[in-house]
Amino acid sequence: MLKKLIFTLLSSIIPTFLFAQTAPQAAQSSNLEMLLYVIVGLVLLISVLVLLVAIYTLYVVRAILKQEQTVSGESKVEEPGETIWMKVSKSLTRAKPIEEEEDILLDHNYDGIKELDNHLPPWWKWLFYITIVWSLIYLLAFHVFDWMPLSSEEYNISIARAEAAMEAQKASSPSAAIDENNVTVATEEAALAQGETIFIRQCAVCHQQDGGGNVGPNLTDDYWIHGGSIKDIFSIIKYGVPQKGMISWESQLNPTEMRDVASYIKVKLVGTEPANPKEPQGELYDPSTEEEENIESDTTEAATDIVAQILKHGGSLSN
Amino acid sequence: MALEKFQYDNKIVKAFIIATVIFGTVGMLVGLTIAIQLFHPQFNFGIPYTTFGRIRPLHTNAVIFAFVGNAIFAGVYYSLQRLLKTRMFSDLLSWINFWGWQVIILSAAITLPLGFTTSKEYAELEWPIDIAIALIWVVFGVNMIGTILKRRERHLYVAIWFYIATFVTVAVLHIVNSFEMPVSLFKSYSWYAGVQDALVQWWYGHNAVAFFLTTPYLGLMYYYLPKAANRPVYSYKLSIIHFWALIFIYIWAGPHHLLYSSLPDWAQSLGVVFSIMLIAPSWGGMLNGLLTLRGAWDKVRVDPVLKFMVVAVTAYGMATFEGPMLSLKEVNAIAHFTDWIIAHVHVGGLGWNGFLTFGILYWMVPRMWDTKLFSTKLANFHFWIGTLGIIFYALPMYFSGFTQSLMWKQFSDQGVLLYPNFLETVTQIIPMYMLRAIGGLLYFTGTVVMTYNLVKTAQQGKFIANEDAEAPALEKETTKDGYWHRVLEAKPILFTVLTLIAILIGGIIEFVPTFLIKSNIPTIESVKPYTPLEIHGRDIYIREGCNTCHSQMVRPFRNEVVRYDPNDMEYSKAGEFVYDHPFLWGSKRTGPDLHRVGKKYPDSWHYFHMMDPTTMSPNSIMPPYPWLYDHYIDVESTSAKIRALRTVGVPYEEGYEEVALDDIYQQADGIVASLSLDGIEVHPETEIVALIAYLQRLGTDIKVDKNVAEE
Repeated sequence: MLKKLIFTLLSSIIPTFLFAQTAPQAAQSSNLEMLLYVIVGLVLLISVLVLLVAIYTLYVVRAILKQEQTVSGESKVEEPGETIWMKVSKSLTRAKPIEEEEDILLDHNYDGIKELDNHLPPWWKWLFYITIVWSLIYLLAFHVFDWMPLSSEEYNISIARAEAAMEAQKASSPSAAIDENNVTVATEEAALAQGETIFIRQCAVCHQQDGGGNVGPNLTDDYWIHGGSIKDIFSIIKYGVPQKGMISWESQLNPTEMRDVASYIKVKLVGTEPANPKEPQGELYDPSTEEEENIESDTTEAATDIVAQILKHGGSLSN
Repeated sequence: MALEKFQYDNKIVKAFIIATVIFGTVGMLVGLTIAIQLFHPQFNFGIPYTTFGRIRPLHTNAVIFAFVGNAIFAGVYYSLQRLLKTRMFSDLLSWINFWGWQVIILSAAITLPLGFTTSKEYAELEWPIDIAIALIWVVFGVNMIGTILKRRERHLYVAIWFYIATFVTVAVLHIVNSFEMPVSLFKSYSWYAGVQDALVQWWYGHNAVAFFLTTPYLGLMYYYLPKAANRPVYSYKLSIIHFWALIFIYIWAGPHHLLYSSLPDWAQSLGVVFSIMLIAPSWGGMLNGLLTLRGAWDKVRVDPVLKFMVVAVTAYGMATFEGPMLSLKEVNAIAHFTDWIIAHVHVGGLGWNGFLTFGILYWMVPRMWDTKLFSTKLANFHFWIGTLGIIFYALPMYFSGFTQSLMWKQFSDQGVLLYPNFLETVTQIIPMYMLRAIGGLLYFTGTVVMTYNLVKTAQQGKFIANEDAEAPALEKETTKDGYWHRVLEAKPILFTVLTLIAILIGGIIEFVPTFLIKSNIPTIESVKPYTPLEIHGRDIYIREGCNTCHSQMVRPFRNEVVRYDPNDMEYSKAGEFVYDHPFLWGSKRTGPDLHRVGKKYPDSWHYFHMMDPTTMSPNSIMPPYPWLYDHYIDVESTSAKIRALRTVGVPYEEGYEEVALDDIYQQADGIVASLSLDGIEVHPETEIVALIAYLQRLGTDIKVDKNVAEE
């Protein structure tokens, strides 16, 4: 009960703590949405605070100007009684009015600078107290009672949540279920166009826009280091070849996008004549074997040594 | 009571004022240059000495230590004499202070573009200059304490408390953070490594802001603001409470620069809570300043001096509220490494330090030259264009920081990064970089106008080199003032000692466990010292200031791990940095993080990329580094480097330096061979080979076991 109370208190001070804590409920909503709420909340919080400060400053200035006029005798006649604002101000600063300043003028004189003995503004004092209490609660919450996750725990929570979301996504949408075992060449123009866009944006840096190769190998010839079937290419894109500098794109491209870019390579790039082709690397791959492969292999490991075995088979490019 | 006659030394103040104006102009001009480079990289003229990585530290050093530094001395030398009713303790020390400081600035202006740097932010200067800084700072301290001791005023005014805290703390910060092992005249390795180095550095870095940009300026505010407004200080009590609270709490808050890093969680939390507790003490200064203006607001409307001061104090209040907010972990997760931080420091720097300096200069110069300000109109123009400059600077940076951070973090519905290419998040904010440069230009224009106005003012007046003054000699205190703090104010030595104690506590409590308790930095067996070639590469990385734009700290966030280490999904661990003298975590990501860049791309990728980044990343704003291809590493220095690193604790075997050269050539030949596969011919001793060796090593040790298992 106490824990809940303090937690509510804390989260009202910093709405963002909700982020890390309420994992079960938040699992459904996407990260982005959460982030949006957090930011909107923060912006609101800060704006409200800034607004309050601004209003307060404005008010102080007004009050001071008013007092100024009173002192200089322009409007000797005070409005009957104090306004609410004046009362608020008085309770906030507990300042001696300017006209009674003499009472609290200390006998200090430094090169003509004098000092007043005004009270500490109560709101300031309370702000200080509250931040100290908040700090104690904060330290206890993180390091004594473990109510709040430390950074590594927070990381694990976010990864677990993302994985759960991915599983759910896979189950609900067929495109997310595409993987290296079931991928087939996409031939629709829309898919190939998307593949081209991705290729130019992500792949061209190392493989050249025309696929001729640069830092990465030539993708237009029939020689492939890791196999030239759609499944091989998909697999290389997905997992990368870290030793050779090909990064894993699994976290940056979704399965459909990986299929599209692999298809783009197979359909649009292979067999073209690039401007500055890099010399062939790897082994000759016979595209005519692919149909066979679709039937026979269901793992990438199998796909790599399939080349030799399949050379004797005939067939045409499958889709 | 007999009045003693004496003279205030205005000549030394004049010298510091001139230096302030000159170095302010230079520092801002360098700032403007690097601002332009961010959207127009060619603005470095293609030479090493003006690339971003080298002159960004020049900008920060120039504005902090040359502009603000000289302004502090000018303001302190003027006000200290008058607050204590005496001339400075020693004219000789005053002038040693002045010329020593200018020589230090000059040596910084030469060595930083040449690439002599320790890489530690705001402490980049190499060890001989560090020693010079320590000596000159002590000269300043002796001169100040000496002046205090021969005072004609019994009690020390609040401004002087702040001056004392400044002197004591900056000395401690500078000396502790500058422990380093010299390799040669202009090369050293930090005494500390990795996490510990980071903690010491940000204890220093944060408190350089606190005790070089804040406390001395609060002291100046307490003198010049009541003088200019001709009003009594609002609350003596508030002065006392906020002074002690501020200096005690400030020192703890350094770790808020390292939230979500490999720093132990408990230290991060201390950074958070002490930052939050800092709000009230900081605002105490703002309140005492603004409330002092009660009854003087009619003057604020007409007097440019007060206008500058009001905006300065308000900017101080905003920055000291924003700072604690940025220290909250969830806010920090968004803001850190982005332009939001740049906006934050410039609200403080341009608003608080800049505007208070301008206000003080407009106030002092007419008085020292016994005349009126040449043109109030021009001063008002300066005020408005300066304010506009700050707004044009800060708003685009807030916007770009927010935008970029969101882009880094966004995942699509399918669980992949929405902007996987870091560069996309950079090109998105380039228009903001342009607006920011306009803001900087406006602010700079204001400074030029001020210079003209001040010169004209001096020309129409007559400089009073020695200002006559008189005051009764200091007598034994006859009436005891009951208030405890009043007693303390009459005992400067005790006051200084108490200040020292107050600022030491936080540092000690944070340092000792981090250095002594092993569990704070869990060992990773597979992490090994750098090879000699990698040391050379790392030194090139430091020389070129790569860390000004690239962090080496993958924070424990899903988006960062996915972005920077998609293959192995490892965020940065404390144990990975144990041989990093100095640490190179960085504080800003203008480019992507590099901690997991090792083995991510082939050698040839780096070769082409350093030659011209746009070949590998079209539209990149990173400058080319062609000189790495025809400069050779100094293989002769290898053994000295290894010995120095061994001294600071890297476990190279005794005698390893004798065979290190073999290792250099073996590793370099491997890289040369891999490059030749891609048709590249390169000499094994060229700098690019060493740099590639270092980059390919980065963050890979932790994966050694995994790779062995796979192969």
